[in-house]
Amino acid sequence: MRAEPRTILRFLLQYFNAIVQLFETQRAEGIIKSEKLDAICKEADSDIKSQLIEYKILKLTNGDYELRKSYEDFLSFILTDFKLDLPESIQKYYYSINELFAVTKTTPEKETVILSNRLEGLYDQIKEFVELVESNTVRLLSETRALKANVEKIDYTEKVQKASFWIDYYIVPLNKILDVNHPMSIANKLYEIGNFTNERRLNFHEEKIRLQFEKLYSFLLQTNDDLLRQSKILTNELLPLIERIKTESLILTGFIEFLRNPDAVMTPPMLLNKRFNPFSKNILLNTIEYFEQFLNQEKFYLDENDVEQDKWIFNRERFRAKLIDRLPVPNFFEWCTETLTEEFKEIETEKFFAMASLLFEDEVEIVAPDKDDVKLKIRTDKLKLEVPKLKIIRKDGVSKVS
Amino acid sequence: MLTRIAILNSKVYGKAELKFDDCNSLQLVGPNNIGKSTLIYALNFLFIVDGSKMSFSGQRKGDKETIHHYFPKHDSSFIVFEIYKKEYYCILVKRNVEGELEYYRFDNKYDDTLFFVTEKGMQRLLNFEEFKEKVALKGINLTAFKNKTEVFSAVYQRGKKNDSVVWLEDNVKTDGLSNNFSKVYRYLINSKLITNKTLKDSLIIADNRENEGLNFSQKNKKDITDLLKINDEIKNVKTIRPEFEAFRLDLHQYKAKTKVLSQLMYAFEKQYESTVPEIELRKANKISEIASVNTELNEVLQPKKTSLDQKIGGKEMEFKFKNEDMTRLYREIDEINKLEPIDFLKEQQTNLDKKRREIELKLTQIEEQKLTTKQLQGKIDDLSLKIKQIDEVIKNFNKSLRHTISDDAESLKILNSVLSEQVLSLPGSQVKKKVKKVEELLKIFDGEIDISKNINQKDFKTVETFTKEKEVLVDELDKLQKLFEIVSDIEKTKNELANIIFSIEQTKNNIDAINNKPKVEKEWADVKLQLQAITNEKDQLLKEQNALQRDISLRSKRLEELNEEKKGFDERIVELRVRREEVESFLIEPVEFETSENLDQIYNKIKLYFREKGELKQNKDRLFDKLRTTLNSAIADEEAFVKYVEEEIACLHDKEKSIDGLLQGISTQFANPAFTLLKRYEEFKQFVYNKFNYKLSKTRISDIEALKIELVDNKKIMEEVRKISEIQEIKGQMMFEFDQSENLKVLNQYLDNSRRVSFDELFDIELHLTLKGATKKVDLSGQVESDGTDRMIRLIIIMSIINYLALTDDENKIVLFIDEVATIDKHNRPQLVNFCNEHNFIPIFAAPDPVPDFDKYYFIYPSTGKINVSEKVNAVHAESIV
Repeated sequence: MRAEPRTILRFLLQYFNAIVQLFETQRAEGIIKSEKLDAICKEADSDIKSQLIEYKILKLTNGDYELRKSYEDFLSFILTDFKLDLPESIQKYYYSINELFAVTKTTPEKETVILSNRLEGLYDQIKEFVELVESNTVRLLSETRALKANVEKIDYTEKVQKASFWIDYYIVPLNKILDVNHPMSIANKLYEIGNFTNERRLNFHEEKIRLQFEKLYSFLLQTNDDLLRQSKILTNELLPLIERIKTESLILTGFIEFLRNPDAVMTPPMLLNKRFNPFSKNILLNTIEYFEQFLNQEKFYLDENDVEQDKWIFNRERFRAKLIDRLPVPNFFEWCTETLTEEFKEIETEKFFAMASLLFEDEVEIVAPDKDDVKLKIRTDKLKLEVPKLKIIRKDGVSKVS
Repeated sequence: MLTRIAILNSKVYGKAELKFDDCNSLQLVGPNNIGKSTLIYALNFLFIVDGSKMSFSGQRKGDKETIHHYFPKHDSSFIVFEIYKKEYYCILVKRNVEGELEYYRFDNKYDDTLFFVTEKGMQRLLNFEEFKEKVALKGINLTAFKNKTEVFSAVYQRGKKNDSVVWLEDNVKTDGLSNNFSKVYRYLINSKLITNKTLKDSLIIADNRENEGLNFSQKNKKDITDLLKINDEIKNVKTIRPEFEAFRLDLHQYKAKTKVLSQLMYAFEKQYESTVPEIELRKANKISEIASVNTELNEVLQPKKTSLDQKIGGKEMEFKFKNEDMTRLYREIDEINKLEPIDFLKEQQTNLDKKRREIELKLTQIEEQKLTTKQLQGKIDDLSLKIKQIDEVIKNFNKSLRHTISDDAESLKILNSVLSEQVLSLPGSQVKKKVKKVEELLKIFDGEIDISKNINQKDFKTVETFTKEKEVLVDELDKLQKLFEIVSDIEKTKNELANIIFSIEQTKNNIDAINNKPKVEKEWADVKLQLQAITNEKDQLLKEQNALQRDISLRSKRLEELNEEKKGFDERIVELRVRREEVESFLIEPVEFETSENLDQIYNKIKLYFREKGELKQNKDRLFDKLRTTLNSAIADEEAFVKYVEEEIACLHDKEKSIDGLLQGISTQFANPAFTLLKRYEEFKQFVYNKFNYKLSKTRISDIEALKIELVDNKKIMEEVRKISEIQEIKGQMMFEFDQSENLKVLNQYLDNSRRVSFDELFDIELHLTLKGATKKVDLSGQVESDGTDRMIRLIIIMSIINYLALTDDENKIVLFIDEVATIDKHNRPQLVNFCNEHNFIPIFAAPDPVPDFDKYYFIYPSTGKINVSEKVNAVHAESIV
């Protein structure tokens, strides 16, 4: 019978120290001997062996025990205690990814279920690969930081040896992975996949698969960036080790402690922008805000009648219709004046100009003014105007008979 | 979709309410600056959320001033967005007292009665507390958004299984308070922001590529140079190995010598400490002996000698004086013997004495009479005259009457007394008869004269008397003449007198001497005897002196010897001190050591070893300096340096391997992103050509029959990026290769300039328009067709992008704002509206004048107070009859 997940988690929490001991034993010895398990149980003051088996945390192997991989991975993740993987085990991903990509590429588009599965597989494979590289980096960083703080006071030669070893184990394989100039590099493989995925994510006919392509494509972009970042982090970490700089220092050690647990101590509120900072350009508004807390807020009444009723809005459509009705008009500006006078006591310049703009309506055509014609004088509220005599006709040449 | 927006009590608006769900397009009609844009820009608060990305009139961001513009009152200024997604709900925005925006959601349609209450026949806006009460009373759920992120995710969600304001496509990426949609949508609220660059950016954003790019920093270059530095160090370490071995050997020997020197130094010090006091003691003994000899010499012998010398000197003086006496006496006797006989001398003395008396008498006379030569001459002359007269008298005596008148002397006397001189003087010849007797009566011619009485008988001298008288006078004259001689030469006389006196004295002395001779002779004999005695005494003293001198010489010689010995000790001490100072100046730290060697041997060894050490030091220092220069090392400590080089040698292999790995890593870090960028650009092209252009191709605007975007590669940059992507491995000699390889040259240039290649640098966009069957290329950075068409095309591209990002659904219509609609050709307006409708947009236009072709118009009237816009008063619906 499968145990209830919460029960397992509670169990893990309750016996976490013992679990960690099991994990460490497994890490150190590759196996948990039954005597060791007994000792751990004794220390935990409880016989948890049966639960460990029941919850499938431990597996019996030839009378001894072993953490199951899922738990080992889980613990290694939460304890950020990763096992160093061999460059070879990373290289194997090239083949698995390559293989998966090959089958994905050749899967017919209509086989959506298979295609979806394969895409998922490819995604997982790449994810696994990136996580492996990342966990390697995390493990390396914890070691290099310890080395930089040099708590154990190891000497330079040993430090260089370690650096050389790490460069061999971490950077060189990563270089191979990221080498764009090597056709068999994982980076190139990822570009190939990216190219393929990009095309599909833009055009694939089925939404679900298209989204899968989209997801994979984004992930690929992310992957290359991540790998590159790992490479940079590693270079930054390892380069100083082969330099003869005294990396071990109290300050550095302290800083590393801080990085491990940044919330342990309150950091000083440096450069905090205070509200009453008098240098602020907002000091006036800040002051207003401060005092408005103590003010009796005046009530706001809506005055719905307060509209400038005489505000004239040019109803182009109405006047256009009126003009077209009257076409042909022998003297356009005269017509404007007359029309405005019909409605208003005085001709306002604004209104006159608005009317004048009717000249540019598509339906009207201007007939060239007679050169001898006397100009018309018009008086608005603000201006005396001298305008030409313009005859306008309907554009198609036929004026509507009034 | 957003169905309504209501602005309550902003700076400009009392209550402005726009409804979007009953039209496909609308226009805000109102004079310029009345606040049409202000109304629409309120959309920022819903769709942009992040104040720094909002954009209002005059390029303002969502800063405090803007917030105060929309929300002058913290408790009674609101913007309400009504949204319909299966159901109506509203998002309410207000400002708090901190000036921050607060967002609330209430699940209800927008309803004036929720916000207003009728008071005194007027509508009063409720404050937020009152609103909350009212909402609660009506049983409407009101929730506050905790933060802007919560607001943002309530506005935007992917897919339709939610009630967010905008349903987005799955490809939309959210990055904090923005996503591809919100980044592009701001151009739809404020189309003035659309430029060639923003168009490009929008396209890039649409395909999620805005973060793509290459970044070359000095840090990369530093890594390379650091590595090359280490590489150089390795090379140097390799080359210096033989010299290093020599240095190490020298250093070793130097240290050994230093140790021996330290030991010798110790021995020297130890011996010195015992030797010097011993010499000092011996010297002290000598000094005391010298002192005693000195005392004897100075206080006994020398004074003795001095006294003897004085005595001898005294005797010598005495002898000298006596001898002189004797000589003098002898001479005296000799002188006496030479003198005249004594009788003669006595005679001579008498004569001389007489002569003296004469002269003295004369002199006395002269002195007594106080005679002068003149007086004497006068007297002589008188006397001579008297004598002459007397002679004359005598001669004439018988010739004158006086004497011839009588022969009797007595009678002559009386006659000379009674007769006158004249008669008397008459010559004797005239006497006719001499008188023989004299009587008392004088008978003269016939008379008589008693002459017995009263006549003074005159002395009458006879010739004898005169002769006697003359003799006296001659004698006196003689005396006077002699006297005259004496007086006229009185000095001579005096000298003569002195000479005479001296001669007298001499004579007297000579007489005395002769008288004294026996005494002198006796004296001489005495002196002679004394001299003999003195000589004998002196001889005795000289003998004593010789003996003493011998004694003194002996002592002095001893003293010299003693001083010599003392000097010897002094010199030894000085020598030792100098040596000590010398060896101390070598600054050698002593180290305990036993030796049987003497001080001189130790000293000589120290000197020798010190010199050798100096030579070693010179050698090793020279090598040290050279090695340090070659290795560019600042290590001052030799041991540390040896350790350093030994370590370096030990690490050589590992380091070389590491550098290769790291350099390869760094080259990959350049090549890979460059390659990636090019790949992604290719993929982006696929997006634009296959996906985006497909959307555009269906668009009909103006007389444009077909529209598509072409990406024009920026060949220069692409080529440069390609070159960088081909970099395979940076080797140790990169600096050399930097000049040689084109690829590395480009990289170096990029590194030096800290170049950043952003995605939009890779291309430019070009619009391909098909007009009347012909294709025309338009560079979008210039103007396309008329201004209006250009604006439209840009809008359409942006809308196409938004459309690509948002799901097409009736409930997901997107409101967009097109200001200054008059600038768009009126023929194009219906097409634009059409495009909007087809692509799920509700366009809001704005212009001072109403223009046709829209479904709904809001006439915004100016007001003396705050402006109100309401469905009832301001909205105009239009329906096409055609």
